[in-house]
Amino acid sequence: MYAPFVVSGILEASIADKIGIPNTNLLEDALNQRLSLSIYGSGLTGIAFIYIATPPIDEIHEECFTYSRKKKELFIQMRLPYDVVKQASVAETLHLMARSYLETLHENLPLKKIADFDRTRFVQDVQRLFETQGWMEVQEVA
Amino acid sequence: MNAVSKKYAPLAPPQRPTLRPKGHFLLFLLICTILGVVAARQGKDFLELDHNGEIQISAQREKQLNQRLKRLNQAEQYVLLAKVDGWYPCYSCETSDSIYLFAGEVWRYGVTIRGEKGRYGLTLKDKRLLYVVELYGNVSACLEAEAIKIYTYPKLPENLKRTRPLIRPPGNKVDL
Repeated sequence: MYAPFVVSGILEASIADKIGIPNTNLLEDALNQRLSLSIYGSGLTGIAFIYIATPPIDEIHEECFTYSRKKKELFIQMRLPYDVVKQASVAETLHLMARSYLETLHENLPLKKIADFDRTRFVQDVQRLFETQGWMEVQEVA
Repeated sequence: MNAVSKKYAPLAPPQRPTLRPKGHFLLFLLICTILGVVAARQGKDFLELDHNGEIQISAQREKQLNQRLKRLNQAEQYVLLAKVDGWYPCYSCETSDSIYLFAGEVWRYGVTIRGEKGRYGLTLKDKRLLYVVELYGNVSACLEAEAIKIYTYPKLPENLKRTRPLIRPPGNKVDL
């Protein structure tokens, strides 16, 4: 991984500009600048989060949440609701991405046996970071 | 014992070679038999007789064929774009193995079908790239679109502005 926190996307062309370059970089930069995985323990050195935003006909890309004990890395692929993203603005999409990131960690981290990693504190800090950035406010998509 | 008695002391009888226990040989035969049966079954499980007594491919094999045809109809042509300004590997540069790309510029075109091994996201976690799907369809249409994109890449504005325009995208190692 090129950084401890990697955020990217598998996107359909018509909505790529909502998720792709501005928003993935915003999330990635905030996580790398404000959080350090090492303070939560030695069990995790990298998290790659790939958003999938493609129409329902796409059956190629699947969700996953996998932990490599050897590399101490999490690899995550999660779908965003395509129809919602299609109608959302760039800012609304960013909020959607932040919420998806947090919920995914909250639901799936407890299911992985990651030794020496304080996942509770980590998830709390991610939430606090997103709230500070103003990305957790509920946005009503028109 | 003195030297004389040592000289004429009877030699130890020659050791008979140790015979392999009978049990080991029987086990070996049993394993060979099992493997032979399995091999025989494997050799025949892709063919079967229909109700007319004619040979046709087995139901299992036909199912595999249909799955393959379905996957070939679920293809996509994609482009990998630079996520940030920076240096990226270049396989089509004449004098360098890397190239500076600006965010949003093309690194590579490709085609994938459902079921291909390997997660595309794994590429994304090691390189600062975005995966953008440009076309969904059967594999033939996607390969055609990919070829057109690769061969017409030289005339893209992002390439024309370079001191040394590339013949194909930096991440595409060969023409198709």
